[in-house]
Amino acid sequence: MLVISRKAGESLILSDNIKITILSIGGDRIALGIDAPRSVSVVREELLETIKANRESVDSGKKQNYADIASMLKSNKFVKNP
Amino acid sequence: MEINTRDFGVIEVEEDALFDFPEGVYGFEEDTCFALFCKTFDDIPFLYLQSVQNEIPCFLVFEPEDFYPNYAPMVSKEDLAACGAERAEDLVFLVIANVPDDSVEQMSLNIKSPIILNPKTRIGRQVILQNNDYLIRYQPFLQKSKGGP
Repeated sequence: MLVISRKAGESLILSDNIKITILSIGGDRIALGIDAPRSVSVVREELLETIKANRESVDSGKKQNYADIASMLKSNKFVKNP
Repeated sequence: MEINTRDFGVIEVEEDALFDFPEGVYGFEEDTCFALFCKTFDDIPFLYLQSVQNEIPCFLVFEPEDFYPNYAPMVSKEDLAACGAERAEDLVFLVIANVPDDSVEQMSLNIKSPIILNPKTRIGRQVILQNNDYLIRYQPFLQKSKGGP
């Protein structure tokens, strides 16, 4: 991984047309400004990962698995009233 | 009312099982109404969050506290306001399960992005918590064998 040190107010440029500016640094958060063409999608990593997990989830935990899931829940004591 | 479900055909649900999701859930933004219902299997209650408009999405969901002791979700003010709540304590939290077909042991729970429900306003929403150490794919069975969180 390339590591670049920047201060608030400084920027970096990705492939000529994407500019990322460090707007402010406070506590454990930094604010980034991103100037990019509309065709470039910018998304927080955890959002993308959540969408992926959701899409996998709708196809999981179906009827044929219930007996297995129930027995795993019981054997791991993850149930309130076993 | 009657709804079409992914796993149980047509079932009858009460009005108080319905929640509006004005923005859908991530990846399924078109589904703006969900029913929460319970089916018992081998004496274990399973909770489902089922789209009212479509058979899919349907999510198997759990209460996070059952798996993650001291679950302490940090919800942003914007997310609270979107459900008409002032405090996280007023909300019901549910986490979506992801169960691989071939390995139930690898079941994961998205404890980073729970579903929040406000029982008063009947509004629901999926939120991304500010807790940095909460995982999108937390595997309770594998964690348990390692000694738990």
